[in-house]
Amino acid sequence: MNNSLFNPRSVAVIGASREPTKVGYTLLNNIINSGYRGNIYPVNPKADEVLGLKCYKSISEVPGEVDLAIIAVPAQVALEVAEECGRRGVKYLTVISAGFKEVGSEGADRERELVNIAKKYRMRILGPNCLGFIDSYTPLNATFAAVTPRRGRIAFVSQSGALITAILDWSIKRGIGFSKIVSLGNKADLDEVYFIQAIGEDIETKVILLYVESIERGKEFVDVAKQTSMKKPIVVLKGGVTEAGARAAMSHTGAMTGGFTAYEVAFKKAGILIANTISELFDYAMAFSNQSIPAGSNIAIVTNAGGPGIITTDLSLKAGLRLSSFSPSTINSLRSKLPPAAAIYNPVDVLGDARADRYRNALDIVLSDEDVNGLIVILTPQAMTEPIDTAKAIIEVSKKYLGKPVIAAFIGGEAVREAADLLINEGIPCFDLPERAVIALSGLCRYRSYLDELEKVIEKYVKFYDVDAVRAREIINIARSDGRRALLEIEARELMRAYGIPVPPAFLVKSEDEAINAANKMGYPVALKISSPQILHKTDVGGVVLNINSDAEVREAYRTILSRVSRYAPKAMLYGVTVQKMVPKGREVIVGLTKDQVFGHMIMFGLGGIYANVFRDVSFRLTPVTPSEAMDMIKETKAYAILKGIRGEAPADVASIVNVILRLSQLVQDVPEIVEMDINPLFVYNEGEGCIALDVKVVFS
Amino acid sequence: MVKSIYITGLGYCGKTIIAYGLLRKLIGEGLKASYFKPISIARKKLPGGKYIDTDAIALKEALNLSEPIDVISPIVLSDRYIELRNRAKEVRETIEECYRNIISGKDVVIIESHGYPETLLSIGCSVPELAKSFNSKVVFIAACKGVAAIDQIVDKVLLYEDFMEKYSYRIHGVLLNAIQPPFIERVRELIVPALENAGIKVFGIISERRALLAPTVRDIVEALGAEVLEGESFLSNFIEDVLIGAMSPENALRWFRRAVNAAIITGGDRSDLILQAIETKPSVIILTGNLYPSIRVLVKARETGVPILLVPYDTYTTVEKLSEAQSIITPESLKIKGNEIVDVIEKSVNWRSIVDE
Repeated sequence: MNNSLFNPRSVAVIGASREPTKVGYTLLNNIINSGYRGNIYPVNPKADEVLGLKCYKSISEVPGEVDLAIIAVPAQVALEVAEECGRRGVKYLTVISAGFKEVGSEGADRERELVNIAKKYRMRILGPNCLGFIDSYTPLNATFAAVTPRRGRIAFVSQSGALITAILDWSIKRGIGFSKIVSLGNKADLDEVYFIQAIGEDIETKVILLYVESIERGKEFVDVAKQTSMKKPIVVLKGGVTEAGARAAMSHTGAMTGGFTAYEVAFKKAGILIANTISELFDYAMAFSNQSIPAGSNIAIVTNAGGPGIITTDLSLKAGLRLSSFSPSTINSLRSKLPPAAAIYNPVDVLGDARADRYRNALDIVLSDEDVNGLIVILTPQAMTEPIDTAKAIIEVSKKYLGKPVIAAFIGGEAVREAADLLINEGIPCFDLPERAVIALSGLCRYRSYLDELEKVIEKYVKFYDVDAVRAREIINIARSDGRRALLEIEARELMRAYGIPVPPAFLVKSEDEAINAANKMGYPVALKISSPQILHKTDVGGVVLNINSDAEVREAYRTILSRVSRYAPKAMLYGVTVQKMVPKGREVIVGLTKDQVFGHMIMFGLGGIYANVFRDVSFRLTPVTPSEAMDMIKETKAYAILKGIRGEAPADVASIVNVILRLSQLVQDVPEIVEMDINPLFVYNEGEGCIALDVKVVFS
Repeated sequence: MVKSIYITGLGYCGKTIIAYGLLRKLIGEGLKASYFKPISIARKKLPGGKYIDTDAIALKEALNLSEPIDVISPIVLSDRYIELRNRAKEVRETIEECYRNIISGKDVVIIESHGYPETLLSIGCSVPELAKSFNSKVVFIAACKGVAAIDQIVDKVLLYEDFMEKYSYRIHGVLLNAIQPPFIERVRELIVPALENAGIKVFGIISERRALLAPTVRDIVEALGAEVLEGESFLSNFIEDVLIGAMSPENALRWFRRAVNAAIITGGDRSDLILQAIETKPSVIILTGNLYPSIRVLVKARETGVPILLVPYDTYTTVEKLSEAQSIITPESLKIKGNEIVDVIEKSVNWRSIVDE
């Protein structure tokens, strides 16, 4: 890969040490031992020679060009060293030193200073507070990890250095190889976005694993990851999913969000697979690094034991996989090749006495079936079982069916160890438990469906031309100049109107007489609602009266609302009362928006009405959304069943909801200062009759 | 002869702000105007034991008044003041002497009473008594906060008119202050006619404006004796809203986002909530219970420029101290909100009639 961070012509190690207990020693030792072919320059003012290499007093004394400088000196002197590197024309810095942002405000200032120095000299920085990086094809191990990994197809980018060292150790034992390993550290400059893009273009890498705790450049992350996902899978393990930063982004409609996180929504948009545990992360990785992507999610299971076969079937269905239904010819072949007691329907049970040959026959027949997209082969060691020969049979047969991934689960320990190693060495992922095999295969299948999604998304964003962005901005600016962050209901309606979203007629009034006038203008029945930016839930403070049918009732309602509100919300600033025309009841749904600090605006769709909070029947997407995404959002919820019509009910106007979702999506592209919005409820009428936004709340920043 | 206007009212009804606004307006009109606050109850005790009225000091500084503060605000009482009966004559003489001093060479003087017109009636220094001796026009300010308060205004004004009459004096007129828009109609159609029928002029109907009097973070630091953990350079942020962060972060965000120039109060151990709060760029975050926050919080606060304060009190005490501090007027806040205050006077107050009629 022609990239000077991963493939520098020369490397300087600043803080190289003769003491084997020092980081500066291990670093230099790793670089030398990794077989790096460029020039290596140890820098240490107190040494003449380190590990047999001539040592320089400072970076300025180093002869020749330095592409990469690895800084392993205390943080206090790191800035000075960085400055010197800049003057020396170094292109990349890897700052191993700790003592930056992770230690507090003072460290944060130091880190900012480091970034400024790098900018001044146009250097890029990896770290600080990181383990370094490894490229096994350059080859270059610029870390202070104790072991060097095998060469492989997996790239691993991690915000945790400790996780890297632990996994390196484990990967050696398990025989897994890596193409690149990057420890991000504090991400002062180079971050996951940079590396996803860089490694996305790396021909040695088949799958990118990512461990992150936080993402700062959310929009760029989604864009870059989306592009990369189309080339190769990205699997992410997100640390701190329960922490506020992630969860709270979904603040909107509070409890409605349940288990959703902004991260999940963003990863989905980018076609990234989420691993929930470290073991899942690497189970996916094993599958992706050697197996091909299946054409669909129909799988077959071949086993020599009934129990594990059934368990695997259950797990597969739960993971969203489907069991293929074999063609008659497959069934006939299986019947002729297997003993009568064998189960010839999926899952195929070749029985406990199956030797390698029987496995070979069964696998060959099953994989040749057109409806089979992938296969899990299960082996339990029994008296007649031939683990090693069976492994060989699997390797041989799988080579005949490229494009159909084969995953093995050899359940057991010592009895199957050698066979499992053989499979792994030959590129067949082999696990000790069937659940891990299911995860691995489901990852492959999910990636296929993400690819299909991504292609749909490229499909097109709709742009509406009948919207008035100038008016929208004006509405917000007026509210802002009034010292508010929330729109009054009447302004929110105006905003909806500017974006072509239907709202019932309404007026903001400041007296009983005005209220009566407004009601007569629109015609009865009307509803009266308090208008105050401080009142979030109008009903809770008695601020709403519905079904008003006469002038006298308007007067009464006006007074009632004001007395109740003065009592229950004494500090609220009251702007008046909204008089709104009552409209016929439709099926109630919610459409909402919230701006996540990291990923930007997310749009929500869900079941509305008073039971909405109980069912938490909602779906989310990052904006902008395409028509097919909007439709998928609706279909994902149970509300869709209600919208389609239950027991003879006419179907609701789903197309009009799609229209509202797309218009809101455009609204926040045009007016990004909107941070939160709720249309609750949106009344949806029967097909062809449209929908209407009854209550609209808008908060801007 | 100097025109003398005596502003009085009941409790916190906006006297100081209106006095300040009128003075700014009159000075702007080219008049030589001056301010006098004969009696105050101290808002603060100096280390030397002297009581001071911070409102009067703020006004003097914001208007650059040349008279010494001891002349502008000669009698500053502590909460215990009944002993003053023994010095009644001396008090009265001091006030009169200072008044003469204040008005010399002036076209107009605005006098501000203490909280209630009856204060120091016991020693002959109530509003009607002093106003009569200065020949001042008494302007009564009534705050219209809430439904109940509005309907009580007429009774209150009539009661004080009776009180004035006892000294053969009268209320020159009334200013109806801090009215929320939905009540304006009621005030105009019922309250104003009722007052006018009783022969009392109404010089202005002022609708509520929030935050004409927002304290700064610096004021709060002082009032709470808080430790500034982060954001020293943002202490002049205004505080217009106070929120307590007690709910889950995802619910709290809805409130934080709606608040304008907010002080958010929460425990230092609520890192999740504090990080959320910082995102909405409040004016300040106050951490209670001396619970020191995590490093991530401080780093984030520094990056976004949100001041973080640490106080030893529990949340309830903190809020109480904060609302006390919110009624304190500082020269800084007066100057910054000055144009807005003058705007209110120009638009809603018949200031010419107050001075000339």
